[in-house]
Amino acid sequence: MSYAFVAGCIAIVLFVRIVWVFRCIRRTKTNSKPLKTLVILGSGGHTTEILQLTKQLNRSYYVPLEYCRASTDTTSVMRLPDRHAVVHTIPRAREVGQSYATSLFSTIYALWHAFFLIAKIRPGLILCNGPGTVVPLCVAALFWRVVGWCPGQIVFVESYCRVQTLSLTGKLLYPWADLFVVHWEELHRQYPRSKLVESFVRRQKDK
Amino acid sequence: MSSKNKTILVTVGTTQFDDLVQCVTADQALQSMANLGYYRLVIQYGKGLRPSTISTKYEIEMICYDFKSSLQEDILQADLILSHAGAGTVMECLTLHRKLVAVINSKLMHNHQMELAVALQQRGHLYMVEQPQDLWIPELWEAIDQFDPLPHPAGDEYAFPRLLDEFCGFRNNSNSSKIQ
Repeated sequence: MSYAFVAGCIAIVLFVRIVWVFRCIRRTKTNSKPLKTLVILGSGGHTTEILQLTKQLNRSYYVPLEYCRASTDTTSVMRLPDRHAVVHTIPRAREVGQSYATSLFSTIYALWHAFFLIAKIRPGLILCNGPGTVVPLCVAALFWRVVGWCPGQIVFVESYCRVQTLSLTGKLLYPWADLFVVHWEELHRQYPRSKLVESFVRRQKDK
Repeated sequence: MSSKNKTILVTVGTTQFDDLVQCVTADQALQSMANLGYYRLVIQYGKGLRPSTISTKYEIEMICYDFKSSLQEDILQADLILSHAGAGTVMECLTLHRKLVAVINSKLMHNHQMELAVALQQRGHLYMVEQPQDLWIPELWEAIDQFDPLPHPAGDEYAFPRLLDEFCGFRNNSNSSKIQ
């Protein structure tokens, strides 16, 4: 049996898995068991938003609920509603204002960490809204999902401060996030696959 | 001149916004504040530089700190909030129904904060200042003083959980297989 044959088989299996995963991504899920949920804390405003969004989650569905923060972010942990929550740490992909050239190296480093972290946590659901930090984690989740190690469904909520344009993270995740949520009608019109949620904002006509 | 009993809170969130801190502690801004009856200036300067002492001429008391785990108390006590246009601070101030002036940090890479400030200004919820240096213009302070914000409608905390439950299929099969 030649190596080419083995390699070919692996390639076919991977291809089928990738097609299958991408077919699943756009569908409404039918989960019957509680989902292990990983909430990614961006820092600052991102953390405020995600904590606000997850405040009223039904804890019997999304259990265990664990958190993940960037290593440079020291304030987020203090704001968690649950003092005993499990909080994982990852290196930050991009600081606010960091140039894209040096971002590349820190992103590769972050990706390396993310692969191990996601493999260890095996989340059923990833909730994120954050900055660069979330991209490596989502890529890692997609990889482990294709391999079949964990479900790793991705829910991305675009920041409330995005009215007209998506964030860089949003643009990167829009094509393959399972659920993509925006807060403003202006954005929802431009990105029809997104879902509009009015947690903080009401429609303009209700004013 | 109105009575001197009002407080201004300046907040920059978790980052830094030295331009704003510098502009509000300059005499030009202090003069306008004093004219409008502010006697206390509370500054949360974040990762930026601690502001130096201010001129005593205007009898304004300055209180500075870098971070607090919750700004809620200070927000509630303030009559006017000058803030960077970050979503967290903006949301908090609007839910607490405070008069908010969002100052744009034009030095940030890809300044999207302006989008939010513009959208909320269009809906009448806050007053937007395009650059910190504008705070030296006395007429701007008059405009801020006269600005009467429309109350921001309360958000629905259950909107996102509902969407997520539906998406994950928990709502659909909650009758057939009960999850404890």
